[in-house]
Amino acid sequence: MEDYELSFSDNELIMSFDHSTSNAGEGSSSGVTASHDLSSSSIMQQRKNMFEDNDISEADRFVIAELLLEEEERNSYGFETGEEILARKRRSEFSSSDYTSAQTGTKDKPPTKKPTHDYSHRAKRLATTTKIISSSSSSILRNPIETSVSTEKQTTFNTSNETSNYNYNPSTTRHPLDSFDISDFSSDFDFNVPAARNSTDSYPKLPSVTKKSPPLTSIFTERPKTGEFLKATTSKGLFLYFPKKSQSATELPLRSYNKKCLRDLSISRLISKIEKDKVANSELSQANLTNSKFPAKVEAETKLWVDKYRPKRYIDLLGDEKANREIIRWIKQWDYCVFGKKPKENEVVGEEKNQDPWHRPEKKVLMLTGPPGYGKTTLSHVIACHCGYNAIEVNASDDRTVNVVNNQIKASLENKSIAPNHKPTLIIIDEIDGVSGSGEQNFIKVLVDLIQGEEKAHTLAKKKSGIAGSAKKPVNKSILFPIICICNDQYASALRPLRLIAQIFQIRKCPTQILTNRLKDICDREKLSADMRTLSNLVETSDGDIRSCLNTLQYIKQKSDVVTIDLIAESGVGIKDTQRSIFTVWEEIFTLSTAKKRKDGLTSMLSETMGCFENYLKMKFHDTACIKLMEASQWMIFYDQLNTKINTRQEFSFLSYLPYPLISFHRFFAGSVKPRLEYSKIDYETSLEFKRNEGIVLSVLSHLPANLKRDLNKNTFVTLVLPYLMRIISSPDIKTTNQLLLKPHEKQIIANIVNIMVTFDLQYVKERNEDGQLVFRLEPPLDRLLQFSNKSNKFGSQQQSFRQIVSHEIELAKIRKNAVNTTKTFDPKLKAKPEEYNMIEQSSIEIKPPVDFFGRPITTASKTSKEGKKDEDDATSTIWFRYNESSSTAVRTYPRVSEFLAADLY
Amino acid sequence: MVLQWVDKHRPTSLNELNFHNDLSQRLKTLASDGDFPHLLVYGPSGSGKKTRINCVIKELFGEGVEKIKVDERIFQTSLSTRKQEFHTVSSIYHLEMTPSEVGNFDRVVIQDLLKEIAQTPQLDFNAKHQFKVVVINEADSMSHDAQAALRRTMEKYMANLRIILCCNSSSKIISPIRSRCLLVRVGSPSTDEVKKILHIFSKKENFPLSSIVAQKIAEESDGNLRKAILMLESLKFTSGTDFPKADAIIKLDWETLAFELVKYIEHENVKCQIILEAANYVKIIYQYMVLIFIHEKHALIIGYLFQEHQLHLGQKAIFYLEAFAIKTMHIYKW
Repeated sequence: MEDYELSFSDNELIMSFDHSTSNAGEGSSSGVTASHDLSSSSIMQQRKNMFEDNDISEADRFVIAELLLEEEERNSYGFETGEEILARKRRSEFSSSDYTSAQTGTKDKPPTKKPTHDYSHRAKRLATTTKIISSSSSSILRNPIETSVSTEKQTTFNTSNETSNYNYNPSTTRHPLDSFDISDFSSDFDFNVPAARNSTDSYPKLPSVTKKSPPLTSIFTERPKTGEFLKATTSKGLFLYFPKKSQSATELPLRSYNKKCLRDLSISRLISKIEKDKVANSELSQANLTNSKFPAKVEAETKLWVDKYRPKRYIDLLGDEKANREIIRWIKQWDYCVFGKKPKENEVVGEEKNQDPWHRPEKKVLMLTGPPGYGKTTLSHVIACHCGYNAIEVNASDDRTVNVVNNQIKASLENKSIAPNHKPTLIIIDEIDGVSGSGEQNFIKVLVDLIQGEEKAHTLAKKKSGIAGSAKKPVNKSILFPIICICNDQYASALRPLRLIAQIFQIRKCPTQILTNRLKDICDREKLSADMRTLSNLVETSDGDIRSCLNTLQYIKQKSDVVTIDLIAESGVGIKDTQRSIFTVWEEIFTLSTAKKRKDGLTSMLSETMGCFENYLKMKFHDTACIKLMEASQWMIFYDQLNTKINTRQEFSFLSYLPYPLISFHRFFAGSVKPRLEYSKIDYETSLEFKRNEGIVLSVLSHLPANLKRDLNKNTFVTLVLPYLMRIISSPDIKTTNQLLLKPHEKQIIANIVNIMVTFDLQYVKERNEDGQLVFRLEPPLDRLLQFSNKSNKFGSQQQSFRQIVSHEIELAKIRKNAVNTTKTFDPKLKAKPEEYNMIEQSSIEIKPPVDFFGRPITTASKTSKEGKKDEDDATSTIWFRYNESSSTAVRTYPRVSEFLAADLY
Repeated sequence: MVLQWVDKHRPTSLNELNFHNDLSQRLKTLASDGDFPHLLVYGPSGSGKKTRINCVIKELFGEGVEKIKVDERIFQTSLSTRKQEFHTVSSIYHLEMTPSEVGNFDRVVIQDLLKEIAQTPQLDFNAKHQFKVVVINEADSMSHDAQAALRRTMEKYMANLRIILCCNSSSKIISPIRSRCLLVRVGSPSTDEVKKILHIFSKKENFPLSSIVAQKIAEESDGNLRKAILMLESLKFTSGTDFPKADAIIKLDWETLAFELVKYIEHENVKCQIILEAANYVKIIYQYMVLIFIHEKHALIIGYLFQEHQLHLGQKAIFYLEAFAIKTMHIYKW
């Protein structure tokens, strides 16, 4: 008993039945983790397998028991328990050779799935620690003659037990054992036997255990060669095997003695007889077992392969070795903080770079991201174990609220200081992107606050205490252990705050070759024949999802011993909801792939269709008479009309038909060559351009005078007026750079142009182009509307000098117009100004005499002044002189001294 | 003033109109009569609908209608906070508006603005008629809701208000409105009529115009008088002092482009051309140029009409144009 107690007291043992009990709501103690982290889906899968397979043998795993227990609770209890007893009878019958077949008549049947029921009930019975029931059940086992009598009794007891909510807590494992009459268990588990020494029951003992018990580990670490056993894992990853007594060994002698002459024999003879029988029986049973290939089966079906072949050590890990090492390196950075080990570099270089008093890494949270089934959880567990941590997992099945952060994480903060001898903890927050909740009570926010708040406090403390070194630690609770977060989508909006402070590692897809090899290995072990091609196909279809690969294989194993592609296809692997980029979808549409098509993921985004529309012509396909193209275009029209209906009439029932055009695109244009696809931007660009152009047109139209406005609408303006307008204002081939050299009809033309431009409120705006030259640009840029291709601007080639003249004239015309409008209100004082203007004009001319092409001064000064006068008359006297850079009538040049010298030669 | 010949020499009274004389006569009697109905004037663009409407209004109210001003109204719907600017041209007797300018807001415009006008009687007591006239341009592009909003107003405020709807096709006007209006169809002028008008213009602007050029312009203009005048005007302008020549007639840029595309479609078998076409089409459409003129094959016309119809059911014009291009190529290849 002492041995036993010791082994359980510190909760180091992770018993496999923890799982079945912790779910009952009592919560496990902090030191123990549930040994199975099966996702519910895989449980369901497993469960399906269980029921489909008739060959399932005595499963000693409580996982299965648990599953069935659940199932049972839904069913009628009486029937099930009756079945169970029947099953038990069968089993005892099976194991005992001299048992009469008359009682049940099922002698030759191998145990079916029913025995698992047996275990489930036993587990329950464990929980409901009622001595009577237990003893009665054991009495059934011991005494088959009484079976018929006690069946009814058993039934009633069981029903009452099952309805009662059993609250079995692993931390109290030993209490029920204590209170039990040990004989209740002795028929099942060997590890109870040490206690049997204390009991007065004259129960036969097994030699292996009744001897002075050796250290627990040495007994249980080795896997028993024969028979059934119960498997458990310590947190160190050490496996413990608790052999189960074979039924034949325990019950057979008992029964025979019960029947015949128990009283007549002395105890010593009884024992010797038992020993003898046992040897004989074990031989017999061994022969039996080897014949019926039992052990392999038992092993195969007891555990999900995913769990069975989960990497246990660092060496077992597949995948990106570099990433794994990086993660280890990150965790190792905590060594000083957690284990007190000094990093090697520090010893050499001395304390300099790491500001943190504990030499923790800069980013205190590690974030692993990657699609499901890439082994993130496994990786983190293995590495945590490898680095000597006790991993605590908080996953989506747990309640993740602020309380969890407060209780679990903060609690483990404190635990560390109290129990220094324990393994330090490492918290793995699995499936963190599924964290719900928002606002103040957000899990992630609290987590971030916890990490950051500590930092703030730390810096604050540092400020206060000056150069507070590593000696003086802040009083504030600090994160003194690594935290690993696992998520699928690192860009989930909820994770945004965490991403800033986390070290992010992307878990990549395990290379197909390596994964295939591993699968092959597993298949070999499971005696499942599979060739590499099939397996690599499986890996590809599942997109590197190791979990789904293994589940599929296990599922196939239930049906046949050979894996074929058909079976894989049948199992529906790879059909899972994954988000693929739009490019992947397009690629799929345009590629004839050999792999299984996945069209179910197509959403009816317009951009997808537009992408198809823009890319389909790049595909290579044979279509001489454009028939394919025609059909495709009909599909596009169909799509658009559906879409229109949906948008305008809110008939969303049509949404489901939207993807069909895409399928037809696949049908018509898919090729074996991987297409070079481009993101659809034409649609967006044109809509942008449309808006811009419309803006230009509207701005012009809004400034039109009323009489034109009533006549022109947007459409007529653009389609009819604009082309002619642009033609007129840009067409004349007036080559003169000087306004003064204009011929009369040219002047007339310019006057017309100016008139039009003023009417439509157009002007030329000076700008410097890329080459630094002055360019007169039309504003608003109506010329843009007539540019259909990327050819050079039809209207841009116009002489800049001409534009200069026009823009100058426009200025004048505007001023004149304003002047006309304001003439009546003019102050007579200003009448003196024209002369002033004239003088300025003339003087400026005198200073910079206009020069013709050859640099000779021009003798038309009088004409200019006349013009100036004319302008002035028109303007009816106001100050309108304005110096515009490079819009004066003078030609501005930058002469060199040498040019002046050359001019002297003239 | 160049480019405004259309405006400058626009007839301002029904007597000045040079074609569809019987129609002008009927409108004149209608206007002089006391009982003026709602009008629905429809016909192809450039056939002088607006001119005629203006003449009718002038006939109704006299010179006063020529003093016009532009108003800017701002509307805000209860649903959205977006404000919509809306321009109207009005005199004291009448108001012109284009509700389709504001897209889906046209219903609000009709409901608010029109009612507001309808509920106030004519201010000028010396006016010939005690009603005001509202001209609704582009009535066929008004939304269904807006047209429905118009129905009751047209009946209820008959005392204060006459509505003149102006549109290209009466088929898009809902039948309740059509039944409330007097339908006036203004057809395109014939080539001869266009020629006659062009000569009138040349006489007014004092330049010689050969009948060859006039003929050419009249043919090119497709019966669109505005287009014909603009062509003449630009021709006159670009040729400067020279005598206007027929080959100097400026074609519209988008028309030229469309013809280029049509040539592509006819002769090119390379499918990558379609991409180019697609890109070009998009631009054309977005610059309001939708028509392609193919008069050659019967099948093409059917195909065109079909796509045109389909386009009205859908939204993305590019799909339809490309479909049409492909169809054309298909027909040419067989």
